[in-house]
Amino acid sequence: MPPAIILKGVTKRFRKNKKEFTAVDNISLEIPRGKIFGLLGPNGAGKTTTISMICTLLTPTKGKILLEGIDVTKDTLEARKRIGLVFQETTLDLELTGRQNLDFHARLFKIDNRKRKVDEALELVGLTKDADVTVRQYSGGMKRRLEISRAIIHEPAMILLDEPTLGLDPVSRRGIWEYINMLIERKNVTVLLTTHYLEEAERLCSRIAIIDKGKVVVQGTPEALKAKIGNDIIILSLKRDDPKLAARLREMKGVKRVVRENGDLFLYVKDVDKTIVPLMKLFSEAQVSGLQIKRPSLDDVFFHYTGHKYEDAAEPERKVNA
Amino acid sequence: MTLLIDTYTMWLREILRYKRNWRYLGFQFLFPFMIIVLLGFGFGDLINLGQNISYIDFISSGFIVFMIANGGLGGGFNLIEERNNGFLREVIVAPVSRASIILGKIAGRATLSTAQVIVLVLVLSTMANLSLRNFHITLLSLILMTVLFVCVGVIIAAYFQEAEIYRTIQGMVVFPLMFISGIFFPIDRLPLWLKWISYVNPITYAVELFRFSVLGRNTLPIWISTTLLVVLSTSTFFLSVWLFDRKFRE
Ligand SMILES: Nc1ncnc2c1ncn2[C@@H]1O[C@H](COP(=O)(O)OP(=O)(O)O)[C@@H](O)[C@H]1O
Ligand SMILES: [Mg+2]
Repeated sequence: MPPAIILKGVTKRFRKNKKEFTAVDNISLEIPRGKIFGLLGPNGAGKTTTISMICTLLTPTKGKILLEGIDVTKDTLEARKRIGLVFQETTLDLELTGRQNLDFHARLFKIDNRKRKVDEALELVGLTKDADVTVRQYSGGMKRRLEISRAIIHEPAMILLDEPTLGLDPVSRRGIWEYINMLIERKNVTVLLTTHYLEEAERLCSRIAIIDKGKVVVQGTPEALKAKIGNDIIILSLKRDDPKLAARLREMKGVKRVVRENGDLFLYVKDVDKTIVPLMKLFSEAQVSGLQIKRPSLDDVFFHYTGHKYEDAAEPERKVNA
Repeated sequence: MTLLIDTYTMWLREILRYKRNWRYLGFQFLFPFMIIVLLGFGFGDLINLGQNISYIDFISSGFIVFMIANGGLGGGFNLIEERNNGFLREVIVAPVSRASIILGKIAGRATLSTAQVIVLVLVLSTMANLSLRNFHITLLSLILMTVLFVCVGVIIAAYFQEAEIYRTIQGMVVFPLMFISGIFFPIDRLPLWLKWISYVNPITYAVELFRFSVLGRNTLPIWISTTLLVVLSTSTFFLSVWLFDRKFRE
């Protein structure tokens, strides 16, 4: 089957502080059908800009976006019908009730059996009881659930979620994850979500693309990405910096890479069980103050491919409307 | 056909919002009534219009136009709010034509204005000479005015993101234009240079047409006011639709 979404060399430039600024830089992606695909990146990486171009809110400066073969800049209305959206910031009408918000949406998309579909959507996200309360009185989690139900009411082929759990407490976050998983199980839809939470990408997505400064750094399944940079990491805390030890460790069988950082040695190894015993023989207690074993995380994947730490990569938080 | 359905959807939401906000709604009827009574009876004796017309007749027909125009501009103001609180995105990425989004705003405003005019004229007819006997012309002028002012509001909103700037423009450009349009004083009493400005001021023609419909008085031939208003409102409508598509997405 052809991919659900194809991005070819997509670029978006803005004028920012009187200068040209490339927010999305020549991104090419193929998003397969029927799966949850994650765009993972720190704040300011260009995730929202990418989603906005896919959903026709922004026009790419360069490049092409195809949704099931439809060019979004040429056949905009057709593209819009195929997308369900949950934006980073709420787009609900706070003065209306949950039900009225869904009804409005259903009318905009001219769906049949509107009343039944609205009831079903409310039921699905557990908002039947609060359906006739103004959205202004909803909690953050309820709003997000309502937006998810609204995004699927017109049965779109693909659902785009921009930071679906941003600003939610851990319990609500887990709830939203369940609903997102449910979307995939119920119908043959494609989900594209963005997140800056590493854990979220790892738990939820069957494939991810890591983006940083507007570029796709690497993509694949979370497992494959982690496996690629070494299956496990051994961290040796040295009492003092020792280049000779680092060199010897590099020679060892099963060690893929050794990185020195602040007096720590990071050993990327294939299999920690086979390496640890021979490793112990290479140094004495006098040299090493601590030893830690870590399975690599997406954090490490990010560091490996970008050369900087994930938490340092974020732009300072922009002011957002409450 | 889909244009009509989408316009209806947008209109329906505006009406739902009015219904939920009964305080705002009540104010919309009470405020103009208070002003008209205050100006008409409070200041009426200070302003002698001669020509067997009392100031209460003059100001009540004029102030209703002020109210309609202001309400229309409020439609544009509304778009700034909806853009800032995020809701506008829901509409922008929906598969509906841009024209229907603006038509829905116009229709919502026009519905409210019609209700206001009917209630106000009926109540005021007990104390002034207003009437609804030319209701078709009243309705026509009301619709043309609403189209014109909602679209002017959209055009302003297309260029400015902040509510404060919008209000400043309203205060510095639109209100002065209203003062020299024959709403509060007859134009023929103005100094010559202001008279000329008032003749290039579209609000003048809206006042002419509306006052003719409820009071039977006009200073210019009615066909001139009507033609000018039709031309102006349709062209601002197309301009606003075009601008909306270009300016509200980025
Ligand atoms: N309308 C805009 N004008 C100028 N710069 C923008 C605009 N939208 C986004 N940017 C900039 O583009 C970069 C990417 O932003 P965004 O896509 O929102 O990142 P993310 O969603 O990954 O946090 C940021 O540096 C941001 O400041
Ligand atoms: Mg974002």
